[in-house]
Amino acid sequence: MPITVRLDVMLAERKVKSKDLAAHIGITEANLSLLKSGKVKGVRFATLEAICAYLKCQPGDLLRYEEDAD
Amino acid sequence: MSEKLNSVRLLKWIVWTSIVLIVGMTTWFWADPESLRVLGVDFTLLDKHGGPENLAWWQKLAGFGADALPAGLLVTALLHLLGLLHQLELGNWFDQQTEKACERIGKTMLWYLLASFFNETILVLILTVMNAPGERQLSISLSSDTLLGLVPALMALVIAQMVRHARAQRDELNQIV
Repeated sequence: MPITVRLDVMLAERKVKSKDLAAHIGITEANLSLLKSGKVKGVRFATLEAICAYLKCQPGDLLRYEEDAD
Repeated sequence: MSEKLNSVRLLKWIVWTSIVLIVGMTTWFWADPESLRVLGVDFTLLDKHGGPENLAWWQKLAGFGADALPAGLLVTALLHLLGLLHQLELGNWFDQQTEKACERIGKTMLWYLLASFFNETILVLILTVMNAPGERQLSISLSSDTLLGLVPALMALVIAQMVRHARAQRDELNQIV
């Protein structure tokens, strides 16, 4: 998929643990793990808003569009 | 929620009663037709061909067989309905088993309608097969009851499709965090 999730990069930059973020935004660690690996079909605006607020970043910092090689 | 469960339980009770009535009445009708006449059961077809008292034992047996096929299919559809009600009791409104149960109800009802359509033809043949050549009969009848039976059959098939789409949407929603 051309949209990649850079949540793990942001977590490392902000030195935040996945467990803390999951607890703060109110989703399970399993779902956060799926989100980090890009194995989800979508992200709710509410989830995105909560992540951005906690990590003090923009949605663009979390998502990136990369053109398919083919 | 408990009100819903109560209505499901009531429906299950109605379905079980219907199954007992269908099996009981079909058997009773051919085992001892005379005793049913008192209850006002319709014997028009039998009376037209000499009445139930003049039937040979094998004609009663064959008649029972002819009636048992649609009755059996109707009972099967009702058993699938029980399966569906059980799924609803468990709260599985959009599961694959719910969809399959709806689909089975619809398909069995369509088979039941087909069997009912030929039921009278077979019965008339059984009742007149001992007649002299030229007096044996075959009849085909299409009643409004048969056509009316299409409504629940097609409804069940449509509901199965709706459950399939709803489940696909739910699965997709579950993949959105």
